[in-house]
Amino acid sequence: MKPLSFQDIILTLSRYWADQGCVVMQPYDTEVGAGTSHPATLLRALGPDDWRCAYVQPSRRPADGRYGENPNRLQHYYQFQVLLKPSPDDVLDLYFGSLRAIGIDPAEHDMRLVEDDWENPTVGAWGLGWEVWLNGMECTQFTYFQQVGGIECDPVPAEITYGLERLAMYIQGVDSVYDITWVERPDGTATKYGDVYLRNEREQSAYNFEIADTDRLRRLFDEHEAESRRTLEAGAVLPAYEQALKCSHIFNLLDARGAIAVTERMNFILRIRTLAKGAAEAWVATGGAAGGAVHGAVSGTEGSVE
Amino acid sequence: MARDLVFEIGVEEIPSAPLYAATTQLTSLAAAALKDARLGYGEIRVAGAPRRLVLIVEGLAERQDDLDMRVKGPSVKAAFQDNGDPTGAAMGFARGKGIDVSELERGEESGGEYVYAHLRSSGLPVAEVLPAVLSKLVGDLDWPKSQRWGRGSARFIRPVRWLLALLDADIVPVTFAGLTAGRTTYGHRFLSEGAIDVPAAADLALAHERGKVIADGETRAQIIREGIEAVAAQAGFTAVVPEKVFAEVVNLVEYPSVAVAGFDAAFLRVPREILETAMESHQRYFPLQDAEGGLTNAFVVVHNGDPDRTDAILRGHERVIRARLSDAAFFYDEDLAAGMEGWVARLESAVFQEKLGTVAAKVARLEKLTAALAVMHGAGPDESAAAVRAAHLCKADLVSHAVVEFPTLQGVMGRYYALAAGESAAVADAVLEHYRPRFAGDAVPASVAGLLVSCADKLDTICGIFALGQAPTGSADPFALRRAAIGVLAMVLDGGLKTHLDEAIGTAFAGYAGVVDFDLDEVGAAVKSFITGRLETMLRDRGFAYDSVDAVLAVAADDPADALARTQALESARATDAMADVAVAFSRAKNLSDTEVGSTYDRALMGPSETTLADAIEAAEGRIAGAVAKADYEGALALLAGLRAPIDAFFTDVLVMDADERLRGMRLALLNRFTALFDGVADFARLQGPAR
Repeated sequence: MKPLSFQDIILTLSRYWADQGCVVMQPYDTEVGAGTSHPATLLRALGPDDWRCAYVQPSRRPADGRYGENPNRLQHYYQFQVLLKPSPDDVLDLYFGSLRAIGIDPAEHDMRLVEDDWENPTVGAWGLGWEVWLNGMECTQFTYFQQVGGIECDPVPAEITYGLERLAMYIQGVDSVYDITWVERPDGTATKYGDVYLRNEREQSAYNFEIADTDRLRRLFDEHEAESRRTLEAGAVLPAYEQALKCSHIFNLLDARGAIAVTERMNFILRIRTLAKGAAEAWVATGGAAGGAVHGAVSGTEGSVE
Repeated sequence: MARDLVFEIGVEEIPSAPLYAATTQLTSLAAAALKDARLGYGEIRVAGAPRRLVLIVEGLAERQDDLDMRVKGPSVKAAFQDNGDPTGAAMGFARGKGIDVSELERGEESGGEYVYAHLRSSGLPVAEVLPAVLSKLVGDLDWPKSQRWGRGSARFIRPVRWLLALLDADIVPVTFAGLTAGRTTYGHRFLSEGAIDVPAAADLALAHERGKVIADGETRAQIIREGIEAVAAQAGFTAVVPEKVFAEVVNLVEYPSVAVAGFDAAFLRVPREILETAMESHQRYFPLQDAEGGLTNAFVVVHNGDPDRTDAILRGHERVIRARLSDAAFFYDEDLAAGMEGWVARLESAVFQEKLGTVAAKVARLEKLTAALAVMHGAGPDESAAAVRAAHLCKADLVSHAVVEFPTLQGVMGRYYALAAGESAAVADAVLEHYRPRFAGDAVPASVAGLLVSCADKLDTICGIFALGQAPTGSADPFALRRAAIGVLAMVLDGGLKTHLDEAIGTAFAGYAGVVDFDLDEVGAAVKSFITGRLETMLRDRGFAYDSVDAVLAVAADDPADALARTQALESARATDAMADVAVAFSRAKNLSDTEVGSTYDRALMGPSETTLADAIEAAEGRIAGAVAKADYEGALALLAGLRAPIDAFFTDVLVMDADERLRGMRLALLNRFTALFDGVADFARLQGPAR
């Protein structure tokens, strides 16, 4: 069987998890460092309701930029993210079934689950789980969330995060991320990952390391922080959380640029933590997915917010 | 008839270290639980593999032992009111034992009369007792970290997915986390299809075998060890097998296969430590080396896949290590191209400790402190220059790509990069060695420059953290300051480093002037006593009597090497009769001592034994001082021991506390002069009793 193209891997995983009743979502449209930050995972992990979702999340790690010259590192890459709440009893079987669906039969490989506990103090979150090894290659992170925003997850969700580029390189047998076949055209020629993203990697790396205006970014950080606070006070949790994510990305840019003095670093992280934790707490306090505390939506005295 | 029990807890992949701990724990918990349940048994065995913990009990009793036990309760006086009605105490006791208050018996014991609960019951069949015993056992396992899953509230290291419990052919309905035990087990996650029914306890081993699972960790360890040796020998090499990596690998597989894979020999130009770290810490491979100890491009993989597919699996692992090594080689080349000197400036962006500033600031302090320590040590100009240069470069590799990627290679990479930058071997070696000793029993730096930089680094950290008021307390020592202090002392005691703690500590604190506010006298004394405390422990650990150590440290804590020499001399001297007697005399003299009278005496008042003692003291004074000045403590102690005869005669012949004030003053002055002789060697007043 011909190996799947990059986009067929995505389409196959989406179909597979759709069949498991996941809401197949699209990427979050704000820069995030990982698929976990998508509110469909981070906030939906909290609260008593059932929730299943799956989506691709482009993830930004500005400091990992290599101007397109390193075959394994990117400042913008893809994660495929699944959240199943509560975690079903056969969650691992489901996961390995998804590997079969994209052409990796676990029985033909050396598959192992290696302890890898997850902790993100910035949002007061932790969980236990593994990294999944495929013949020695870490291809997936698997986590049973225990806490988010310092709040117990009950029921407990299982989070599955696939590293799409790594899996695609493995499936297609190529040694550079830029050689991944994104799609094969009818005439048999291929559009490669490099055709789609090489220029982006070069220019974004230049931006991250050379061009970004650090004074302006600092001002933007302050603005987004203030906006997040103000918005949360106004009772709109999701927009407040989104502003916190913007702060987080700006911090990462400043960091890549080498503009964060050692003495400031902790303070920046604390400022982001305060915003993100505040949003997570407010999310739960206002009833989670079914709730909402924006005036009008709760009091009913004014029209609901569109 | 004795029964056999197997109890399997099926779990999603248990991490390695907790799995080891749990197998040990389950053995002792099961023994205690069976004893509590009055169930006799022949043997308990526990096996553990990533997906299962298995308890096997052979020769389990058919029934519980009968219970026939008298439990003592309150005294009769406290148990019954005057009218004979039972008190609350009696009723509470009876209720606690599960009997009616009317069933309480009376009896006498050690002169008092008490009530007793006589507990009698015939033992129940084992099958009735086991479900509760085993259910409790699962919950009693203690994990360092545990989790919940699904909608449940049970906690375990990872989700529990099945329970199997068989007493011979009968199911024991153990319950945990919403599961009830049956006779179903599961084999290897990928090499075995579906559920496996187990007819009876004795068949579980066969079921595991059919399911391609080696449940017993020791068996897996043996298979893997023999496998590594065999494939290495076949390749003509020997394997590098760190025990920690090996132990983890044993618990990462349920059905191990061992084979040799390789990588492009061109990578061997990269320092072997990088290659080994990439193979061991990231991939859990075992590198192979040739007969000369050189690293080869072959390595051993222990895998959990289908043995028949080993070749294809190895090709997969080879792809992964190729990517890893390409990355590592890329970092190494980038580092070499960038060069070391530029990194020192970049240490401005690395934090040493939040309030104590950057690593760059630390390096600046280390250069000065190293220079001062070199003077104290009496280092030659070349050694001193190499040490100061090494101090300048010692942290530079922290910002290299290789160390950012592989933090355990700090120092190791620094040495390579220093050599590549044209630094001398002395400087490069000191960069590597300055992290030593890294743990108790680790080698101390071999070179003088290494000793000096290591000592400077550790003192700087200790003093900085003390200046912040964060000295270690109890078990809390987040900056590993005790280890740092022990490291400094090990270098002095075993590495030949010469230093003076007071001056060294003072110089280290001088580096923090203006960085953080502290009271130099206070924290200086605290650091000194912290280090002296470690020295005391280290000397005692070397077998010296605590009072000898005490006596020496009271007069000579500034130079730990000198303290060691004194303690050694004192210990051997104390073993002699002469010294033992003199020490007793010292103690007697010290008890009488009166500093008011000073130490000048009128020889005209002396009788013969006083004159003899005065002569002996005066003759010894200069010689003892001379011996101490040359650090000849054996000599000094021999001279003190030589005073045995005149001091003994003195105490025999005269009464010190004579009614005549002039005589008394002369004799006390003589004794003051006598005890003063000891002061330069040790504080003899701290010695307890006669020599051992």
